[in-house]
Amino acid sequence: MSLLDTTGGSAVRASGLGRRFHRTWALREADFAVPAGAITAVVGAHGSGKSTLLSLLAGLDLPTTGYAEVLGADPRRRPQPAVSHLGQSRPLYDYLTVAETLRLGRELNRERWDEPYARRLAELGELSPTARVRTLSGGERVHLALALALGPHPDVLLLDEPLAGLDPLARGRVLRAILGEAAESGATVLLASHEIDDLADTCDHLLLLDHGRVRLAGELAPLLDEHLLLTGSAGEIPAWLRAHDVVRSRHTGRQLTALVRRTGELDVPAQWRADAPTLPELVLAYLDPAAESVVPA
Amino acid sequence: MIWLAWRQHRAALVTAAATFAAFCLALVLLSALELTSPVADPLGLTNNRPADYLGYVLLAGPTLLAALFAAPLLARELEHGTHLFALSQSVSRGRWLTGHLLVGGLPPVLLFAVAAALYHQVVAPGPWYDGMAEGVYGALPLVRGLFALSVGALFGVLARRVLTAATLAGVTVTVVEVLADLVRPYLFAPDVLLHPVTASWSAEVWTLASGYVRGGQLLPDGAVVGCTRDDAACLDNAGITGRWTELHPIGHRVPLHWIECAVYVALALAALALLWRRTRRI
Repeated sequence: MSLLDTTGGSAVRASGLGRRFHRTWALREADFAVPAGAITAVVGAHGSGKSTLLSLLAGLDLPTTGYAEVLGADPRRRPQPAVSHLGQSRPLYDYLTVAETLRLGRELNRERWDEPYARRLAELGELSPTARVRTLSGGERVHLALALALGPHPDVLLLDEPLAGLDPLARGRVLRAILGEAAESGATVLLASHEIDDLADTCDHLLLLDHGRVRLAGELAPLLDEHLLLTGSAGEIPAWLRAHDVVRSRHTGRQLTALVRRTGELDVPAQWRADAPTLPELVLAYLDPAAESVVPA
Repeated sequence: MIWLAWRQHRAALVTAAATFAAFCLALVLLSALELTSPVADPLGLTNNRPADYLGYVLLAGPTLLAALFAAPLLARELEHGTHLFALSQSVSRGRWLTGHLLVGGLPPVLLFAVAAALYHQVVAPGPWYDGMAEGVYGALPLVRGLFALSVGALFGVLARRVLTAATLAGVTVTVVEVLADLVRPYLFAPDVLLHPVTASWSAEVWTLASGYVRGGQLLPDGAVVGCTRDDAACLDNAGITGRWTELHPIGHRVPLHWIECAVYVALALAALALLWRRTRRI
């Protein structure tokens, strides 16, 4: 497990953070820190603890163990006008209109609310101000929820699957809106998503969850550097490779492909090919180590 | 939060105001028409003064407040998950709770208290110790309403479902109200007076129990001595020296009232404390 160095400038920090629902641990012993201004991809399979983690950081849930710190404070201690959370269930009042919902955002965030900006975000989703929330489609709800989350220009943005249920066009639009806000205000963003491809170019940090545990946490570029995608002829995993941390190995035809995490110097023999993995390759290797490819390479 | 609570509970508040207006109208009509004699209903099941029916409405007031107004306050938010909206929009749990209680819950309680006070003024119900009269006297309607509000809100947070919360809150408040009616005479120690057999009491005295006295010993209420009350010779032969009566003179009305109020306030505060503890864990 890799721990991010906490250099004091971290916007979000977790230590031994865990949450148990009845007998199942949704999140266990999470230790990580995210520096201010980072855009972190929070990735993991369904039920890996992404939503639980973001709820805990937003102060919407109580940890069973450990603690979280957001902007130097316990997220439960005081309301966080500087922290926005976009929940997966998009909690909105069905009987309000779009305009009333935006008014609510203003009423509840008096000091920070940027009305023209929130309106622009709503217009991005082509929302009619007089439409009732209950009549909105899933994608329209995302746009409205996003307008409420970004409207106060938060310092920390916790986004839980903001792209789910959006068509590719809207996905790009929403992602650009989020990144535009982050670039403009320097906000720290934690973005949980299944859409690894969408995140590859946009994130500079990674938090990889697997069955409630943090498997990887840190800056993306060094993490990718640490890993190598090696391709050689099929057979046993050679001894020089086993000295390192083999995350996943699989046979495809007469080839053996292995994703390894270097634990030291690694000299790759000439008959092997070494590539730097992409983010999707890295994530898939960690999330599905046993998978055998059914498609010949 | 005030606007949110108002917008959310607008329909319930309008309903409460309309009910209050209808109650006041009925009260005005009754006093204008001076319908003070009992009227039998078409089926002949009851034979009450028309005003008594308004009294029954007030008697059921706390139960209705708890089930219809207080229980949905928080349960509706929790059932639909919309509390996350406010809580993720820089609203503290304390503000969320007090916003709903004060904007959505308090007005119906105050309307109920005012309705009870008007009823007490206009109709002058029965003797002071009658349950219907006592329940609308002084501060009691207000504290009963506050108790119903806190119990309803508490069950809303515990059950997290409107229907369950309303049922549990309604049942709980009804049980407490019935118990209160049963223990009311003993909240303040009644006087026990020894007196001649033939003594009688003014209508202001609340008699709880009475019996014969034989040789300095108080016979239990209803003990049979085999004589009629006016047969002095028979009573003499049976060794009866007089009667005892356990009663509240009208002077007990004030302490009885305040003790009952204090009990309701204590129950309401306990419910609110539990409610606050639960809310912090949402």
